Amino acid sequence: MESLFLNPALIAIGLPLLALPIIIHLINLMRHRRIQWAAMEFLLAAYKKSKTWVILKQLLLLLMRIAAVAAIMFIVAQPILQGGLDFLGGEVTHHIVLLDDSYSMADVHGSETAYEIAKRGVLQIANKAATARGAQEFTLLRFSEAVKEYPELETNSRRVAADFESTLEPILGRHEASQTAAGPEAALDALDKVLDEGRDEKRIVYIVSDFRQNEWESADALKDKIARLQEQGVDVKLVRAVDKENENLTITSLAAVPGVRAAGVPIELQVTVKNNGKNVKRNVAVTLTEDGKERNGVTIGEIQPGGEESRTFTVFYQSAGPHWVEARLPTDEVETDNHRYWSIDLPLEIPVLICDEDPDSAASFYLDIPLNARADELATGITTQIEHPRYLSDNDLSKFQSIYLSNFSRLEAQAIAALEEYVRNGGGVAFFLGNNTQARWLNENLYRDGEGLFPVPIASKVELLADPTDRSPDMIPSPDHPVFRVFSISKNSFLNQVKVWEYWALQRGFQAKDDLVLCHLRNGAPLVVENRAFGSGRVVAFLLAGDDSMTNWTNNPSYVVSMMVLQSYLSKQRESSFEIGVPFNVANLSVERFGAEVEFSRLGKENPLSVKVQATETGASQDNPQSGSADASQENTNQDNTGEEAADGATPISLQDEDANQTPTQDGDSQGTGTSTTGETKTRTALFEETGIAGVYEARLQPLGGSGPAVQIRSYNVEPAEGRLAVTPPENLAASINVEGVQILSVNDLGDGSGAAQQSNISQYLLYGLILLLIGEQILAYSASYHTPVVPGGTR
Amino acid sequence: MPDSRRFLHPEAVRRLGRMELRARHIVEGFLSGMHRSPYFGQSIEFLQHREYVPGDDLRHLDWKVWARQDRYYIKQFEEETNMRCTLLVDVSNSMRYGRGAMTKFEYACTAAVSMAYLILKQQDAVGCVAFDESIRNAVPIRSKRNHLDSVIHCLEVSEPQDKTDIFRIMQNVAENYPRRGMIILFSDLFVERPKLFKGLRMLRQRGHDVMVVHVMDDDEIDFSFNGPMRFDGMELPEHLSCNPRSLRDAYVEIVGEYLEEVRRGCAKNTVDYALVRTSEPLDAALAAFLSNRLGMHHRN
Repeated sequence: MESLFLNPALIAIGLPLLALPIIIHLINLMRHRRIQWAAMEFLLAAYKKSKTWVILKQLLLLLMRIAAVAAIMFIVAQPILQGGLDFLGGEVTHHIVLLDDSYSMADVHGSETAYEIAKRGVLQIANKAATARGAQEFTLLRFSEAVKEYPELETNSRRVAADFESTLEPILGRHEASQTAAGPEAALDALDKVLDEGRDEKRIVYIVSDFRQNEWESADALKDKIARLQEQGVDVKLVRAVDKENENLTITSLAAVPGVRAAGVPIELQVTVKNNGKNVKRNVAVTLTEDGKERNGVTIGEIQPGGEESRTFTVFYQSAGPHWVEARLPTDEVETDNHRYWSIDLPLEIPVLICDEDPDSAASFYLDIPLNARADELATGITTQIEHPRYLSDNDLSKFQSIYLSNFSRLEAQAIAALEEYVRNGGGVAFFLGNNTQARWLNENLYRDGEGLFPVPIASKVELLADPTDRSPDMIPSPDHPVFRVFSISKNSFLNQVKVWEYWALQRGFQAKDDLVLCHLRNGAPLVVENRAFGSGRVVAFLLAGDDSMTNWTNNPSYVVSMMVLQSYLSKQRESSFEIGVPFNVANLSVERFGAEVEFSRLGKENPLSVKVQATETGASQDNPQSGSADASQENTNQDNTGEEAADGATPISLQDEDANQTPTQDGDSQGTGTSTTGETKTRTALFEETGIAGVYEARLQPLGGSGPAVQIRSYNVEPAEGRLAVTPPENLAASINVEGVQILSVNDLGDGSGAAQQSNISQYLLYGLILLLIGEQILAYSASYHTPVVPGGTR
Repeated sequence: MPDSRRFLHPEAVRRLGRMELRARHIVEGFLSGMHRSPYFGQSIEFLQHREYVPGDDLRHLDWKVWARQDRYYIKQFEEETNMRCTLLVDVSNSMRYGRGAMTKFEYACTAAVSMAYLILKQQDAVGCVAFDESIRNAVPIRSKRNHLDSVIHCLEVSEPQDKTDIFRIMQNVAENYPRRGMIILFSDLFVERPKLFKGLRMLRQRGHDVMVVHVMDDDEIDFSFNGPMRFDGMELPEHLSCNPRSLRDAYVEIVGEYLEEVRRGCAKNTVDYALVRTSEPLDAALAAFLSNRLGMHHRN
């Protein structure tokens, strides 16, 4: 137990006073009355008989008087008991502060941000704890840490001392509001991870936040979690850092509209800005940067309160490789959501494989025409390669962006396996049926009761009966699917001209899910069906021929458009936008092709960062025991994914050697390209976790053999919803939580001088102790015969 | 009241005058009319003649011898008085103590003189011995009314000093007063108890009827002092600085044991014993003593 006094100088002054009772005792001995006494014989005998007990009582009395003087001295000096009275078996009070550091806390109020106000509140909580009675512990957890699998506590059950503020202040000073949108739910969930369940302590959970409406209004899940805490005996206090909201503009999206991505092909980007304020915003200028260079921006004329407006602009890159765009809004109260990034690893061309059994390529003709437009006519960036289906069995498919199979009868088992592996790794496959299609074989080998690539079981080829009374077009596309969404924007007369004579009907009794049907016939039969349950790739099946044998659609302009959009849909994602915090995982680096050094960089003028990792080819996994684990399997060799990968691994950067053939993937398959292309080739995985700041990140790999570095690029953006700054008023907060016992405070409420009250409590207890001591002293003094007895006759 | 008679408290004497003094034991000489005596009539038995000397009471002149021989002879009888009472008053240093109206010495003297007055009023004889380590003063046993002045004078000139040597005193008394009578001891009895009891036993063996008036101050019994005090011994060289209340219980217990020892020692030697406090009214103390003696006489 540590102790301090408010008036320590008084202790030095008061120490000599401890000798006062002894001095008084000695003086009393000298001030005795003298008397001539006759019965000396009896008095001496009585003294001899009582001597021991009399001396003992006098000593006890003396000690009690000294203790009383000491108690008075302590009361005057105002002691502050730090660390509590745990030595007396007192209960430990554990203050657990959950600090909101999402980027909405960067909202500026006057001269300080909401996060700075919140930190002030945390310090006040710590101060109160430091002066509170009993043992106090303090734990601080930021929201942005709580979302991690292994949250790191800023202070973990730290015993609160008198100078705890000086300890906590630098800890708080290390951080500013993060760019995450981490919410309170994850923080409350994290309590179970970071706190010991078995501890006997009184817990007080403080949630220090701005309590934005998007998180705290209609927050049933939060209500349940808080109610559960209350049931466990935990006091919950909601500490509001701000009580008013500011105007704020947020770039909610920067993305490319569907289309082909290749060098030399214009790419249309769309930027969307939301007005999170209460006033109309006019002439909102969006500044654009391409590969770090300023370019012409766009201006949005007017955005209504709560409304969103989008503008498109075109970027054009002649060279293949990584490119990126930044959109930026003028500075406002929250700067974090004024930036948004888009990046692409732009290929020189897009290789597409078309499989056709016909030696004359009759079936593939209608696919080749729209995809592989000649450069002198229209640059699509697509290069088609027409092969027999046997090609699938013996060749590397990973180099193709998509694969089209048209009017095939059968596929070799090895071809089916290769296709399935290709799709699992993110590839796109489109099936076109035809006259050669064998329904039974297809159902048994490609559909396989839903386990295969083909999305539906088919029965037979049937005619679409003409219905003169029905003026609907034969093909009715789903307006929600990206492949056919273009036709829902405006009335398209071309699609109305499409006629379908025959199609492959589904097996009787099989009902395809509506959301997997991209297009159906006017009789309701599915015509284009998708399989989304096979790995990370995409499979689209057309239940009609890819030529003009069953429909005239192939001669319709809408077919060209549909194929181009389909190609874009099937292509592996090269636009890589991730939410901040997701690790940059470069996986399956062939040991034979790449060196061990990977350089991760954050591009742009703001917050540049560059980290190189040198790892030896062998023993890397032993050197980094926490690294990698199963993450290596979650990305393919084309580097990009949809951002669903897990952020495993505790070290910021790790590099791991692993044997692709021996290490099973998390999904149960083998190691992607490493297995299919290189057989016994060992691979490495590099993991970069410092992606907590929005921006464009690239990983530079060192190919062996002297060629230039290979680059992977990703853009990381913040969650735009966090930019909505509307705060929840206390009354709404109380109504939303609606849990009895939950206190709603503001940061200003925390500084109500409760510390002094706590101190006085200590003095008060000392005073009680002094009173008891004095009563005991009087009793002992009476017992030791230092008081006049209340008897007739009085004092002599 | 003259100073020499300050020990005669008329009120106390008046109240004692209403009491009947009865000797418990048979002593030689008995006050007729008031005392039962087995020696009734023997007091007028002729003992011898002696030649008249001036000052002799003419009532005792044998006129028959004068008529025959023309000589003046005084008839002496076997007993001149009915009761012979000796008052032994302790005038040692310890008797000087007293923080009340009277010191133990004053109280003892007053009681002794009152007793002498009463005895003389009853036509009995009384003598007085003031003693400390030795006999400081003494008057013979007389029954004259004016003998009271001698007793008073004997006590007045005796200022307390020195320690008490009780046995030697009692031995002297026994030798100097060989005729049986009543001996009343006024003392605080701060003496060695074995010597005290030995002396009492010796007096009883010589046929004396012994009474002990144990005079003590309230302080010496109750020890009701407060505050730090230093006690200097009056007869002992020791001194003690202490808080009296812390010793009170032990002191009272020890004094109680002492009083009980004295009481038992007196009873064992058939000695009447009365403890009187200097705070008690003098007549009440004497009345209680005399009543006690009367009761004992009746039991006999």
